[in-house]
Amino acid sequence: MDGEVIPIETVDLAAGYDGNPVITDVNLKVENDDFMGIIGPNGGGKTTLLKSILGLLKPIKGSVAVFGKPPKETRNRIGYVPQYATFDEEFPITVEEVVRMGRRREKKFYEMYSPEDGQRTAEALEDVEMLNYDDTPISALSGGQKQRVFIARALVSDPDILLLDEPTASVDRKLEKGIYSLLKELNDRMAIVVVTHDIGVMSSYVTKVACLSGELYTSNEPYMNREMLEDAYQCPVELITHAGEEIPHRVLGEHREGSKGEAQ
Amino acid sequence: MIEEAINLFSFPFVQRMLVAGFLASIVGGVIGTYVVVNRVVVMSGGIAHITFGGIGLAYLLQDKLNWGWLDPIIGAVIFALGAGAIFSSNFVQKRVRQDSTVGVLWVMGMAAGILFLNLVDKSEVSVQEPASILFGNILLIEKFDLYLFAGLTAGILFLVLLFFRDFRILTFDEEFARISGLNADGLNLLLFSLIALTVVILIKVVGVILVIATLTIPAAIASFFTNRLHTTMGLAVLVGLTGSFLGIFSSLLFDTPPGPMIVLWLGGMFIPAFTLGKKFG
Repeated sequence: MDGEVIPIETVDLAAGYDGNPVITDVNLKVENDDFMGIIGPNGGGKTTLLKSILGLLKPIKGSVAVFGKPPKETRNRIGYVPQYATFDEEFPITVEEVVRMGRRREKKFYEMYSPEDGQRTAEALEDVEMLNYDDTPISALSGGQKQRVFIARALVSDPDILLLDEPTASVDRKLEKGIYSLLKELNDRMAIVVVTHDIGVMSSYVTKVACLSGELYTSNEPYMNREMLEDAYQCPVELITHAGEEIPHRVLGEHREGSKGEAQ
Repeated sequence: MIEEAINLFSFPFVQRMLVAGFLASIVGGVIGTYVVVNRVVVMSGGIAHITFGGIGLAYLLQDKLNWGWLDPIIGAVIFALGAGAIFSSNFVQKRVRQDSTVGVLWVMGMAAGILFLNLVDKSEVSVQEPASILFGNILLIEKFDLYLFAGLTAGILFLVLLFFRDFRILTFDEEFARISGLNADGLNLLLFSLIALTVVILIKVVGVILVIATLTIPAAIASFFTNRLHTTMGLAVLVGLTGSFLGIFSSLLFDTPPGPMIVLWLGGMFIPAFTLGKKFG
């Protein structure tokens, strides 16, 4: 990793579709050891921001830099984990084949996968504890297992940043914790950015948090006060935390891992 | 009666029929697998019907411009490739709902074909019966067609082999393909061009209307029994070969057109496969 260069930096970024900005004036800075949570309501521009960072969307105004360069040039340094719900469940493909896709970039279309690719695929599957499933069709996995496979696919290209879109949208609370502990471990090796509308379990793991609702509200502390959240969501915090869960005074204030059981 | 049918296998036209069925089963199984897993069955049906316009136009140009060299199959190829390009185009996909595009082009092709054929002076140009274009007439296959199909089949298989890994990423997860720096638009265009060329081969065997069956049923049957892309393709080819052979043989036996026979055999295999298949069983 280039120690000096900032992994992700957006300056006065405005982005959207057909010239209509969904997000404006976004100044986001992700640093090397960050485990950042970006929360925001649906329609707040989370996907738009992700697409800008991935270079799939051109800024309307402002700029995006990934390791100091335009995102398209540094794509190979970002591992991206999409919401798994967008995949075709019935596609005939195995876990190993999905993960190995992550080794495809930089290769010519006729190039075969090398033994090294196989080795790295196995390592990535080991990282997410899915090595025993390498020959399993993707359609036979549970939601949490699929999510692990897509994390492995992002890991296999040795990224310096891991970008996750709603990583726990389709798993239950117990598996959700498992996924965040896994991300916490990976955070030793890379910066992690999680984008979600679900504050839930995430709050006990992130080191930085930002709120995105058209504009970005940042805090350098691993917590954010209620006013900031309400400001971002334009609605009471109750609606975005889980039913029956006591609303923490500071939503992300304390390490709540131990108390999660009763919170369900 | 069976002996009579077997004796027919020594006739060149029957042999040509078998070779055409063989080639169609191979490309139909391989490309049909992409059609099925990528869920573009209806678009492929659209491509098939649009070729009717191309065939009609070729006859019309033979007549009006004296372009005797313009084989109808060339018209079919051009229209099929054009339709494939439109269906795979990002520009169109962003602006028109996909099934609306199919709805528009599908009937335009048919309407144009009927109109063009109607305008052809039948005393000048000998035109194939519309019914035999629509339902196929494998009896009309000539040596030229077989050489063309053999070339196309070899080309299609070669490209699938080259792009197998990239096509798998594209059809499984197009967004990931883009992020990985693959030329997703180019790959989509290539895949649809391969579908278009496959459709042209299949048209000659089973006709415009029955193409969807030969492109879909073998791959759909195969997908009940396997969870890998390449094994789906292999099985689909085997199913297609079985269906073509049984279809051609029984059409000789009962003296019926082979196209519908092939399709019915394939459809007949679908039901037991559906029941036996592990996936939904």
